[in-house]
Amino acid sequence: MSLDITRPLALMSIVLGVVLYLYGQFVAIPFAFDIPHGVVPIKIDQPCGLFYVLFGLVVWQFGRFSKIKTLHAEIKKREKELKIKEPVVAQDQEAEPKPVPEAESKSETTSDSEQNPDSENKV
Amino acid sequence: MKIDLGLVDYAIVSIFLAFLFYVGFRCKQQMHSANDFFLVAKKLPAWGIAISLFSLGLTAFDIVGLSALTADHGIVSLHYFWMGTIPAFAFLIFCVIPVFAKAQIKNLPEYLHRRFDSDTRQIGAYVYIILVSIFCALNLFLGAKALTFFLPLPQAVWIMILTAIAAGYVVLGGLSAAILNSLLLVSIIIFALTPLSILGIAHFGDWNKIVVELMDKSYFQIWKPLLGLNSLGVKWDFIFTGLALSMSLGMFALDYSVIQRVQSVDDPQDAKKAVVTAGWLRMISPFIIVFPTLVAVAAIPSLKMFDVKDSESALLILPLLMGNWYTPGMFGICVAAFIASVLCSLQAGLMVFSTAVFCDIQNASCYAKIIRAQKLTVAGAAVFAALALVMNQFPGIANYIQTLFTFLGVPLCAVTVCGLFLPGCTSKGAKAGIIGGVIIAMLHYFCSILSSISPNLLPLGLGALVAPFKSQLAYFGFRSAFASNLSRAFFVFIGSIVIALLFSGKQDKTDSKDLSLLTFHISSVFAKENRMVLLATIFMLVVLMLLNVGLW
Repeated sequence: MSLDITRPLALMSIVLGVVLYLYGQFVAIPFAFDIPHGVVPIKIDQPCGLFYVLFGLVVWQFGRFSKIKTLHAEIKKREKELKIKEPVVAQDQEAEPKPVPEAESKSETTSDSEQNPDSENKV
Repeated sequence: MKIDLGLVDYAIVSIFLAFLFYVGFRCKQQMHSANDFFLVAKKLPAWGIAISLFSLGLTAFDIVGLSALTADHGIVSLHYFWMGTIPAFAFLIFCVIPVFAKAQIKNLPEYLHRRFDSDTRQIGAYVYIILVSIFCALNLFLGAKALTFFLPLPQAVWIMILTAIAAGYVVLGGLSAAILNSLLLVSIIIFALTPLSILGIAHFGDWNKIVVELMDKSYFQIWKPLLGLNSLGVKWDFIFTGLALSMSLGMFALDYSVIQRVQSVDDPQDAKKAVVTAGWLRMISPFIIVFPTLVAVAAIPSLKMFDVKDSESALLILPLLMGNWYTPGMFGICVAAFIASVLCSLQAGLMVFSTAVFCDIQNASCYAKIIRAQKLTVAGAAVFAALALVMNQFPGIANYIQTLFTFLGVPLCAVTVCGLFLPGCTSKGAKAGIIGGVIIAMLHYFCSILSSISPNLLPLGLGALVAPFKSQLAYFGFRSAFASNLSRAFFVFIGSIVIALLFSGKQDKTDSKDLSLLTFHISSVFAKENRMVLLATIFMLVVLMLLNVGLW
């Protein structure tokens, strides 16, 4: 799935938060809210808007973090795959030698030797 | 009480809907065939699936219906959130996911097909379609009722608007859009409800003050009222036998949409982690639904005066608190949240409807044109809206939804459990189990009606027949439909299993290899890779137990 849902989620929270905060700041009228020892005037839109913006920023960062983590995991997985496959490819080549164009065979040998110095002997 | 929505509220609702449709459009770009419509490209993280599963427990039924139950009967409603879900999730983790992952099964009718035969699959698909249609209609009805409080359009108009929104983005993005949008829906619901809890704490300053304000201690106990006579008429054992064992398995462990979400994860370990996370989320969800309801009953003087036992008023208890404590701006978030609560169930329902018709009834090719799947989704939306409009005309029908679940859902669930645990159960037994379960449910219902009528009033000499059994029939005299449903669910569950076993002939030996794939093995619970999940689940169950003891 190419769509990373953390982006729309973060954006939605930030946009809604900004709208609420600005409305609370410039338009809303405070209302008297009863607490145990009296009454306080509050504009509920402001703290809620601020919280949504913060939530959106946290989700945005979380999305970035999880994307980097996924990429790292995929790189590690790929590296692991390549190390496992090398000896198998070498054995196959020993069993059935196929005619390979010169340019390709040279590049393969160099890349193998760069990744794993032992593979040079096998090839 | 009248609420005036401002321009800012309409803007907030529009922004919210725009994001839902944006996700739908983005998912549409990835779809090429019907297969893409019904399946999610398997790269969704476990936390995404967890929130998606959690969204199935934040429907209008949970928010509007269960807050009404809390207002009427106190925190006994917590059983719905805890005993009605957590044990079912544990069952899903250890008994369902391993079997479905091993056999590479995508949904429940497919399991019934492979475990039994194609006829059982068809029966299963029809039952799921009926149940999901009625449940979605109920959600539309309840959601529309709450929304009329904020914007007084006729309820029928709200029903049409909500159906059009859900059908719009599900048609565009299929299952991917439905699952991804769950995250947006859950976040907006939490945005709207959490400030109520915080304001409640600020208003009273102390939990004990809420208790003093309500002057009813049993309102704050979840087990003690069930030991004696209580307004619901539910006994303590019904919670274990009826709710945790029979109904919750069908609603949360062997539910079509739950399995659909769980199976959209590539790795079964990730699926298990997702379910554990969803279990934790479900465990704390009363803080945003039940707690604000208690605060509402205690804080609003007018609520104490009017009869909250009147079901109509109780349904509007959370909107009423919002109307008292919120101002324009937050009203928009509230409208968006109630729309989201309806969409949580509608989007899941639409996917179940279209998948069941397309894959299980029509048995169509996965490479069919996508338009066919989209047409089925629109048809599903039309069915849900029509049923909701009927419910709107005859509101009494809404009380029978759970009753219907005990008639159809519980026998199917029992047969699936038979398939998972009893290798000796055959397709013949499964069909007999389903039919037998329905008959037992009818008998139980008939007995509970007879118990409430005096034998003298029964027609056609039925009174003379019934009179000798009056003491036996007294057992079926329940004080509420809820208690009757829990009792019936247990009878049907056990009855279906017994009938399925009795009617099962000899198993064909050639099937034994396939059966080992399709049945539960205890070794899978203690497998090495399962240890962390096992510990997390045990910890979750221990916390559940402590919470129950704490609120005894």
